[in-house]
Amino acid sequence: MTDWHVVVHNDEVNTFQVVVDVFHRVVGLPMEDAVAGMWRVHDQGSAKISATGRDAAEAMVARLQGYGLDAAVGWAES
Amino acid sequence: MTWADVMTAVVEDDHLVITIADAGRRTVRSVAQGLIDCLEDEPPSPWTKVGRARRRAHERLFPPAYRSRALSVEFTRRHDATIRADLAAAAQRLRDGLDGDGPIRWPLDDTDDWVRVLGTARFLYVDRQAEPGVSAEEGKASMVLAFYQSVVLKALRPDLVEALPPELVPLRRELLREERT
Repeated sequence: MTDWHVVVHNDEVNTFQVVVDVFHRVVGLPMEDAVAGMWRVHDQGSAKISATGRDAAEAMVARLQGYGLDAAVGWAES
Repeated sequence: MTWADVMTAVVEDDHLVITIADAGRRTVRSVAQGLIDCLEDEPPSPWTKVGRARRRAHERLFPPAYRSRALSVEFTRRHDATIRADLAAAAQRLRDGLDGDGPIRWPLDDTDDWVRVLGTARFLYVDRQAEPGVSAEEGKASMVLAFYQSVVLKALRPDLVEALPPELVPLRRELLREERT
């Protein structure tokens, strides 16, 4: 079985506030998780921010790229 | 003149009210137009200077959606037109909304246009490492857009400022390190 997820990579352009805002408002994460997600991206270079089906992951990546975030689809076999 | 004189934004009666100096207004309009031109030019010509610059901007704006090149190409085929059309539409609304003088009143429901256009347009000038493409001026242009975006976000989401107090940055890093160990 394949687990699809959305990965956001760190960059030096998007600000902390923008990333938290997008995670909260667009991805739909609770504020606390949005802040924690932003810090994981910043400190670790990238972070999974949601696990979902492939189509939904692609749709979310498309939306996030429309905000300027470096978002990608990742997957893992389980 | 201070930065606060250049652009201010407040929420009033279901609108974001933006006051921006004439030069800033012209800048944002020009940037919005630049983004529109870049997004509508598909595929940009590799034979002209402008085309090559737009090609680079496309690559900065839309990084590979998969580690696999083949899957990224498929993703682009499925989603690229929609992403570009959607973003270009936001940039057109922003450009057209800057006509006239005086404070700009923007319906709160549509303020995403500002966040998205000011954020993505920075990649017309810098790469993901914030390195300017051609000249130091491009780096400055990106910083100005970041400032405008921060003014808009601060007005729309004051809770974001409270969520990330600068004095807590070292502490948050420490906590994350503890979580990982």
